[in-house]
Amino acid sequence: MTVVLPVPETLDARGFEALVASWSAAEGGRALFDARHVRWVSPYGIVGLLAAGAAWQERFGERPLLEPPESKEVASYLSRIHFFEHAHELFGFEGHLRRRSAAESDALLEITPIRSHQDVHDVVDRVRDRAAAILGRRLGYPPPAVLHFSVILSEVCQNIVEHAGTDGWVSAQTYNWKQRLGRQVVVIAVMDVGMGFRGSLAREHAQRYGDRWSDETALEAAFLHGVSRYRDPGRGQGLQGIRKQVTRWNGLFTIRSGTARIAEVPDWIERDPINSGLPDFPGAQIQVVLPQVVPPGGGE
Amino acid sequence: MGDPATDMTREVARTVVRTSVATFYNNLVTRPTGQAVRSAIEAQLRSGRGRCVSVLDFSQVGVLDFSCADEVIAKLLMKYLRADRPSDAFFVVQDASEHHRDSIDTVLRRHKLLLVAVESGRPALWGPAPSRLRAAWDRLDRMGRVDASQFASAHGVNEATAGSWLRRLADFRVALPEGHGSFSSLPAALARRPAEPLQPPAGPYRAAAEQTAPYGSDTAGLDGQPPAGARGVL
Repeated sequence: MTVVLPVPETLDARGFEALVASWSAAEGGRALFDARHVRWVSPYGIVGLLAAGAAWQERFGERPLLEPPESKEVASYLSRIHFFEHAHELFGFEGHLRRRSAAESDALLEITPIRSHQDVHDVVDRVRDRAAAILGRRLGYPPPAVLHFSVILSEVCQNIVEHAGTDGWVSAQTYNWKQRLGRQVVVIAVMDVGMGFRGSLAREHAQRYGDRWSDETALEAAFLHGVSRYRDPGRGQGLQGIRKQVTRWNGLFTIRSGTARIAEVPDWIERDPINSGLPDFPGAQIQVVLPQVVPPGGGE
Repeated sequence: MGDPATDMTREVARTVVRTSVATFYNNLVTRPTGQAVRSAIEAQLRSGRGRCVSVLDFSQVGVLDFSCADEVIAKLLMKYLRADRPSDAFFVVQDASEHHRDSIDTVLRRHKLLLVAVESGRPALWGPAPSRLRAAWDRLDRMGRVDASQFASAHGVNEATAGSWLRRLADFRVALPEGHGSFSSLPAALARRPAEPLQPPAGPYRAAAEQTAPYGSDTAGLDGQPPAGARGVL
């Protein structure tokens, strides 16, 4: 029997949650991720689709199928950001599909696998020129912002290498977030389907929490208190540093892990700082949203 | 009256080790990279003898993330704060940008460490120093080299208090104890004896010592006991 998991038309953070709900409710079998009707994707949503495919294979031991988007525009964009190149490692496809577009991508960072510290170096090296152009010219950030941005990117990617126990992906893109903000944003999405925060921290910290130990308390410990799985007191600074920088830029920073999500919430979006009881999904899914700078007086 | 620089170097530090903290990577990110940089700095320090001032030059560094700053700066400082430190090295950061400072300051605060930096030629004390200790460091920096009595007069405190502050600064290794109750600021010590070029060591790590200079006599003395590991003093 084939289980069909419909991929939402708008594959952003909300769309990913809907996909995770289907993923979590499934009981196994041959899966078909039906993305035919996808009309719009965000970095978080599209990296999430890869994560969902990887997690299905991990959970049920079977390679799922993917029906790609019918929209030529969306399919072309996915080619340019190397989605199909990575999707071929995780999904089965019916028929031939061109893996990578010859066209140049305008993404800040195409979907890139993170498997080692060297990958983190490569990402930081590669993104620098594009980040300078995008952050400076399009989003109005001062020149040193590109260095701070690279630190954010480096630290979120290292989270995979140091804590996930498996590989992950990163992608970054800028787009106009009309509905929510009416401004351009740059979005970084980093995901893995590894052990998650609760799993990573359990050995060192679960006992102290007793019955309260959960995805929610694990996220709070890492996100709010800088707790790490390592005894080295220098560990755990990465997330704290990202929070500080994202707050300075009035950005949004969220981490979803297991059944919980925690966030540093700016004033331009209504969101609970912490949610629990979400559909269970392995690993960690991180999103950073940095808004275009509004000059004094509110003009754009 | 002798040459103040000669007098100072006889008792203070024999070498200045200048290290360009740029590796094959211009961007200092990830912990393994930080560990490699730290190892290279320590190797340089091992090759010298006696007390030295290690100048960490950040002018060629692009990105410095928190993990790498922790491995390079925090772990280096903590190791040389310990009573069983491998050698009597003091550290000064040079030509770090505002961005570098953000990352370094984050790790200094995490570990409650202090560090001397030279920013555009101007010395500064980085890290979470209590205001009175910072004021004491500022005063020492302006005076260059003092004993407790001189410091007490300048700072308007009694000699015992002045001595206690100077020793605290030395415990954090942001002041040099010179012997006979005198202390010197690190920038003042550096200003008195510029380093001379030597051959950089071979190896895969490009951030080798650029310059190591003979610096004073071999009979350098220390002032009293070695610092007792200043962690947790703040």
